[in-house]
Amino acid sequence: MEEYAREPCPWRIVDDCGGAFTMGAIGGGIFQTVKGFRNAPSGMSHRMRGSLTAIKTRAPQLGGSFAVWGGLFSTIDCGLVKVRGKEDPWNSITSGAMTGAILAARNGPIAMVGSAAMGGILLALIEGAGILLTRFASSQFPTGPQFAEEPAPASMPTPAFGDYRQYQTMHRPAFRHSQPCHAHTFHLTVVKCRHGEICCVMFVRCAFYYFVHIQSACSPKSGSSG
Amino acid sequence: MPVAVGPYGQTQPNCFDRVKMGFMMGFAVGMAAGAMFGTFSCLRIGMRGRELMGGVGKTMLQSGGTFGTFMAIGMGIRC
Repeated sequence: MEEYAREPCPWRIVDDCGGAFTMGAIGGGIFQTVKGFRNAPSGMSHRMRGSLTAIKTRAPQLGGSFAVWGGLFSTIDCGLVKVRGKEDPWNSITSGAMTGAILAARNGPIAMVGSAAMGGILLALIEGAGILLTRFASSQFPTGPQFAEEPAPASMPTPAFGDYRQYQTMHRPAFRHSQPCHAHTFHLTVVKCRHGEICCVMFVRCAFYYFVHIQSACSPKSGSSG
Repeated sequence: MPVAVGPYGQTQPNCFDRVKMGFMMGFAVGMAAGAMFGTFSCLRIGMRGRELMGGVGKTMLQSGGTFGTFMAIGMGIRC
């Protein structure tokens, strides 16, 4: 659902599925605690027991439905990545809509259309928020960061599943001369920040982390020195 | 999340900051989604005028809170 430094494609399904289950179980636990507490008969022990019962029955269910959603979503997402050969917001939106449609398949075509629209709109909102955040992140540097002097190396590690960063750099003109100093699945970019120190900004695939990383790397209190 | 350490040293973002950002992003998305779906469903059950505004606002806050909580948890488990 949310964007983060995402796993490479086949493993993304497992990652999303498990992450969604955990998220649903924890979130369900929080909400069901309150709900069970309020719906139980009065008396502290009754209320506590009500909370516990509600958590035990409902939280795994919610986690399970989150996991189904997440797993199906990233399965379709990975399929689309493979078929279309690129990774962009349309993949997420399409797979959100398709997931909604498939999960509502037993309720008939009208419910499928409604559910697909809902999934598509939701994922479009999330992707839109990510893009807005990216824009906001690049507007954080009005003068633009000065880049390190080293020339970019000729060979850049290319991800196996298309180049998502094409879409990302489109919205981030400040970082077009970035030099990847890659490690693991991430790409690190050396930039010189406003405060003068050179820092290594993590070039993750997600605007969200990107923003946080720039923030934390360039703030004077936590900025690393070259 | 595995954090790679670059040649100049990577400053790790604060876990709490990420959770906070997650909540804010989720809240924004939830508010927008709540505005859309809330308007739809409130109109469908026949609310108009001031009542409609209240209904939509309530749905927006509710879905914003839910989304924000879940998104914050999603960020938190990946710290």
